[in-house]
Amino acid sequence: MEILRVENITKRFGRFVAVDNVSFTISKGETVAIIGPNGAGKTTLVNVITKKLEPDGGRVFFDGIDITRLPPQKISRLGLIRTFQVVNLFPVLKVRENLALAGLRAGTTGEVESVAEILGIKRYLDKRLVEVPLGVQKLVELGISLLLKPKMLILDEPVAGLGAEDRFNMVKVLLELKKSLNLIVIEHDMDVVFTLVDRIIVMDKGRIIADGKPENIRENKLVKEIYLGGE
Amino acid sequence: MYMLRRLRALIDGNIIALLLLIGLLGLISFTGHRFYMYIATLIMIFGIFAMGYNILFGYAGLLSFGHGLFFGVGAYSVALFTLNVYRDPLVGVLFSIPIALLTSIIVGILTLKHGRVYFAILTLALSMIFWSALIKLRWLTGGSDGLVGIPKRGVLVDLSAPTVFYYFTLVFFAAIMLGLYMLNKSRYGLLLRALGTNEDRLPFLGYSTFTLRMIALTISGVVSALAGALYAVFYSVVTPDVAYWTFGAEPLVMSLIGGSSYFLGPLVGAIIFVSLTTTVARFAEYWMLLLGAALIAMILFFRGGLLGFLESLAGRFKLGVYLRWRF
Ligand SMILES: Nc1ncnc2c1ncn2[C@@H]1O[C@H](COP(=O)(O)OP(=O)(O)OP(=O)(O)O)[C@@H](O)[C@H]1O
Ligand SMILES: [Mg+2]
Repeated sequence: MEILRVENITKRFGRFVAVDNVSFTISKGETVAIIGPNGAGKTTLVNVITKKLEPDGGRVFFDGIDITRLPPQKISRLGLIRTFQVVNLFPVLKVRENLALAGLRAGTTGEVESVAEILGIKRYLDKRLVEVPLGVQKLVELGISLLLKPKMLILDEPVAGLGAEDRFNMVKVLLELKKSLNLIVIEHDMDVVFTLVDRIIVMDKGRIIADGKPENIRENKLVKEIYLGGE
Repeated sequence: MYMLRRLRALIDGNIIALLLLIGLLGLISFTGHRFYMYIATLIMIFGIFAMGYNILFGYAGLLSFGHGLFFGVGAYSVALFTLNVYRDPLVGVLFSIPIALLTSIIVGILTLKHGRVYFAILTLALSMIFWSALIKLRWLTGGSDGLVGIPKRGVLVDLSAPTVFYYFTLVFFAAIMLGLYMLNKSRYGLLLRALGTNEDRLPFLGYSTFTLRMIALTISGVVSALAGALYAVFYSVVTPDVAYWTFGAEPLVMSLIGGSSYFLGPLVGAIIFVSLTTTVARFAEYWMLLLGAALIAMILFFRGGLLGFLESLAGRFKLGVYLRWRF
């Protein structure tokens, strides 16, 4: 059963083609990583799928529905939830209020405390978001996403900028999460990727250059050359 | 325990200050002092106007130059209704609510879809059109002479005694302020603050920013119109001046003076603004100069307004915990 189908998505900035005729399908239950060097077009692809940006061509289907023309709030309500590469929340609001915004929308206000407990951020609930460390902010992003009851969750670099301990925490939470929902992570940290996913899509210069099981991707010559380079 | 927690969550510096102010305003009526009551009435009316304005400005982060339109709609609704339909100030004031609601929705549809800068310009443009219409539609609005003889004594209520009118205004003031306080504490208050903080994120939580902005504009428009309605009954006269854009900028100035990111900021600003304009009237010729200088000083040095200044003072003396005044 497929949950996400991306068909010939193209996104240009002026004459520069950031995403170039990209197609792929993700099945229910699959956990997928999208990797690729800086500027490959990973974030832009997610921006188009979730309608942060309008595509210049192509179509996107989520859970059987054509979402290409839907506004972001409708896509979110269908259960396709994303986070942002740079923490993108409500800095002057308290952590609790940030979470409550999601809770109010999805009718999960009652779960705010327990989600905070699971993520280990309960003691920060009454601090303003700007006052808590980056690792906690990233967990708040995740908490918001969870309270929205996603069918599919796309995380744009969930461990970027985190120290070893926060990184470990995040991976632990994600390993648990992937059991109950479709997870897509964009990530540069290969340890995290190989620990987490069943499938890797590799992008470079706006195109998909490889797509397969982690062990195959690790051996793929083209990928080694372009991306894994030094390793 | 739970009830106690709920109650504690509802109580903060704002509600205490608000209740004290309402009590104080009540006491002023006992002095029977005409001039104090006059100033207090204007403070209440402009306090309502500024607090309504700030729902849009301070909470939702939308700068409107057209709030004279809402104030004017309230004022002219009550005037036209009491003079032509049913001669009663209370019913007239209440009648302005649905009219303001309708106006807000129309204004919202025309202005809210185009980004913040265009919102500021479009609201300015709409209020200019409204102002021109008030002048040109002489048969309906009395043109630049306005409408006179708005009754204080009506079929249902008689507000002709100054103290009675004073209490009438105080009841509206208290109800609106407590309503706004509850709004601030409610889920809608949270959503409106989120809108002002990072509206681009909200669609990805499933919220329509247009809908949220519309809610903010509607609340703001209705509250501002109520201020206009009370103003019309107070003076028994309305002229197109109330819809002129400089008049509509006054609640902006009040919000800035008091501190637009504080719940009571606009009200504090209204108290200062009204006190100065009514008592220092002989400085009228310097008024614009003083106001301009004050605004520059606020923007350059005290961007948080008076309450922001007080908060930083309190912070210096480690009193911050006692002052939970931000919204
Ligand atoms: N809004 C924009 N306007 C113009 N160019 C853009 C815009 N957004 C992205 N780009 C360009 O498109 C290309 C792809 O960017 P994108 O952010 O999708 O890369 P990425 O794969 O996510 O990289 P990273 O790993 O660094 O996050 C880059 O060259 C970037 O400079
Ligand atoms: Mg990126």
